[in-house]
Amino acid sequence: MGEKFLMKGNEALGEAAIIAGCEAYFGYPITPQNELTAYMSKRMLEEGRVFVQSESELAAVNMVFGAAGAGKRTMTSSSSPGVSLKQEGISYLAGARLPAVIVNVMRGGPGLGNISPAQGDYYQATRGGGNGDYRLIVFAPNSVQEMADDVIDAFYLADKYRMPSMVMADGMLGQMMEPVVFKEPKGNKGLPPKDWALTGAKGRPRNIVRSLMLGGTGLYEHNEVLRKIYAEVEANEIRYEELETADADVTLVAYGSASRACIGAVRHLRAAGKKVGLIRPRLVWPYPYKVLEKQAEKSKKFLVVEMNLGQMLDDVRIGVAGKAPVEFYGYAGGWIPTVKEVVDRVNQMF
Amino acid sequence: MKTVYKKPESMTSATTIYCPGCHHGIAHRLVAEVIDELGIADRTIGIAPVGCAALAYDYFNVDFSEAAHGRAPAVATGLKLTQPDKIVFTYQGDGDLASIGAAEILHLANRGFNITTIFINNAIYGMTGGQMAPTSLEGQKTATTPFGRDLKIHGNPMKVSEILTQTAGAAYIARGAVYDPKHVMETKKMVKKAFQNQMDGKGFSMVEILSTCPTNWGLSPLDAVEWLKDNMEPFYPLGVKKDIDQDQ
Amino acid sequence: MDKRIFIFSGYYGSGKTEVASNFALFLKKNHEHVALADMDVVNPYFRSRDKEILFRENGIKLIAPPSRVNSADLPVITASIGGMIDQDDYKVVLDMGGDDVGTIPLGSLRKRIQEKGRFEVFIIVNVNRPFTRDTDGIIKMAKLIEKMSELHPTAIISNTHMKELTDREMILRGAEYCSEASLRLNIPLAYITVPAFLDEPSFRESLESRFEGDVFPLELFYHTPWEEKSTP
Ligand SMILES: Cc1ncc(C[n+]2csc(CCOP(=O)(O)OP(=O)(O)O)c2C)c(N)n1
Ligand code: SF4
Ligand SMILES: [Mg+2]
Repeated sequence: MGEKFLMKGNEALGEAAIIAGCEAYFGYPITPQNELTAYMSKRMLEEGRVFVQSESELAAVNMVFGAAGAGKRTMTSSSSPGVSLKQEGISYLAGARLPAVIVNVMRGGPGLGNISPAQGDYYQATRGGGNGDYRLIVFAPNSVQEMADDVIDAFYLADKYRMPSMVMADGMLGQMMEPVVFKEPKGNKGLPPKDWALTGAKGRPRNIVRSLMLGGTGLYEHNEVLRKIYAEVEANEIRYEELETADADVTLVAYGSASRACIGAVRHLRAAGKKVGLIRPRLVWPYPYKVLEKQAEKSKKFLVVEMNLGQMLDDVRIGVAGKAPVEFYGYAGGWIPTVKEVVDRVNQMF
Repeated sequence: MKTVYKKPESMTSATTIYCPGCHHGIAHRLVAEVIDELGIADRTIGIAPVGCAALAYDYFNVDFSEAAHGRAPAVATGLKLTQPDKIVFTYQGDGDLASIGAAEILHLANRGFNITTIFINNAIYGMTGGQMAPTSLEGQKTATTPFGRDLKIHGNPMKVSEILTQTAGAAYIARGAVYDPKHVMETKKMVKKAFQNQMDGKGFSMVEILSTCPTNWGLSPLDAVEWLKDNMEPFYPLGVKKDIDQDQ
Repeated sequence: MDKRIFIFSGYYGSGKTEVASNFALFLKKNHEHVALADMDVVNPYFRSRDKEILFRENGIKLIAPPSRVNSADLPVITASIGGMIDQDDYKVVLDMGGDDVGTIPLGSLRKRIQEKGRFEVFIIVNVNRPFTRDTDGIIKMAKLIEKMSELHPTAIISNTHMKELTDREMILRGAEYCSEASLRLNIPLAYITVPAFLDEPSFRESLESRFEGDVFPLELFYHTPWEEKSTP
């Protein structure tokens, strides 16, 4: 096991990317993820790797498109308004089947909103915020440790499935400090060769990076390939955590910062003799629908807790499939639910 | 007794929250005075940037719109073309105008639409905590150029006004400063001309104002002025860069 | 203590705000007029400006941008900080942003501070932070801060912790590195912070007998929402 550091979430994201072998980082300042861009402006140069403060988020994600096309591990990061601007590039990355990592340290919206932590970009991340039928592998960490782990995994899975992946954190996770131990990356073991990369066609037929599919059934076939890949990801990569769910009458469902209050609430309510549990998706795409479906057979009620007006709520409803009532607690505008709020809300359900 | 510091009518009574020695406040005042003098307050619409001046609408007593970061020229275009009799101006920082909004300002200038732009060049991203701006100078230390701006790594500082003079649609491009009364007077003339041009239908007009950011430059207000004079002015010379009235 | 202006600088995330807040409360015990200025233009959360009530209740003047812009990232340094520095009957605590870059805003006040004299520039150190893990790291950071702020550090505060995982051995290790750095930089190790949950007489004694600095007990004010003591 490696050394233990005390780090900010934003710094841990940066260091983890470096450990994961990120060779090029492109970013544009925006609060509350500025520390990540600042960290990379120093560390990437120290490592002799590529750092560019781009002219916009749009440019940054297209720089990523270029670096990914070169077959390099590459990353861009931003916060909500900036991630909105990246959607065009993300759709192109997905269409061209380029692996890359996008980090969103979410803040309050819509529009300029404010700089407080939020989870308002769940739909955008999990439904594909740009045009076309595509998915991202979306990690939802709830601690600095998980942020570091997820960046490393995000690079790996992006390469494995040749698709973009996202680490979706929020301002609180980005700004807070916690202990972190960096894990060893898996390296390139088990990964397909990047024989599609644009490295100059010396000694091989030329490669083309594209999402434009003209004529005949080209685009249909391309989308069928994507369908197959996404089905594979859904089959292999479901990740979630359960806490006290075995006999839970009420099951909480939450991710990211909102799940921290839920963990505290479960402990508190259990101590008070109430049968409450938590399902915490570690990836929000692919989504653990089956886990919820099974839980709905034993749990009487569900409560979704989010820092938005109810977005993952849709996924929980899909999973629970009408077998139990699904209630919601959450709001947008800059606050994270406290343990007390969640406890009070759950008590109303008994 | 004569009142030396009367607030222009087109400014609200809100106190600005800019740092001591920041030139944003002076620039606001100049614009407001010009709006007063031209008697256009009741038909002027301002567009605020994303930057330290994001709350400009708290201070100007005229209609105002927010715009996404860098998009003020596009928002201005929508407002102006649908109401040509209104006086529309954008107020933008160097990150907003020269970085993320570079395409929008270039196209506005090139189209030559009758819109006025006030461009605050302080060689830094003030709002987000002192990162490099396209206008940051060689060697300048910022939050994202911790070893100083290295032209090979970070590119060259951008002379926006000079670039925009090349657009066919630009009627008037000038660069001023507001660090002493003399320059305030000169820059005010420029700002007035830029608004008058719009009233006269002459086309796109922009005044760049070299400004201080004592907080993120790490200098006292007085030293910041000296730094501006010693470092910014030689690289960004003051004066009228293009004026179709003169050039004809 | 005849010093008047206390500048808290240090590596990003070393605990400046927490220590500065505790220090202001400590000063308040013996002085009528104490002010704390939030000069952190880098950090958007966990800022002293968010603890308005704590300072108000304790009679400490908080100098920070107006609360209506709290959820914006406007890096406003208010004019009243300068005024405070000139007021001789006030003890003023300046809570800076992290790293050399975080001390940049100090530059706007440096001359005024130097003219007034009687100031202290504390370097706060947590050896669990990645770039100040040993004496060399601490010295490098102190030098960077000195270069950027053009103010010579005058003392070190050892603030080694790992949040709730902090233990006594960790505090000792941190104090050792800081003590070594203080010798090499030729400035005193002023304080060794100890969180309330580890503070006890025998530990205090062992620290104070081994090191030059005093033990400074810390109450922790800055929490994530789920750590807040609003638990039912
Ligand atoms: C799409 C988007 N990207 C980034 C930001 C973050 N942001 C806010 S202001 C700003 C730069 C401000 O600098 P400048 O335009 O020079 O204005 P100043 O504060 O210096 O007056 C940035 C990058 C944002 N709000 N929206
Ligand atoms: S940070 Fe700079 S630009 Fe922003 S208000 Fe302060 S001095 Fe002005
Ligand atoms: Mg600027």
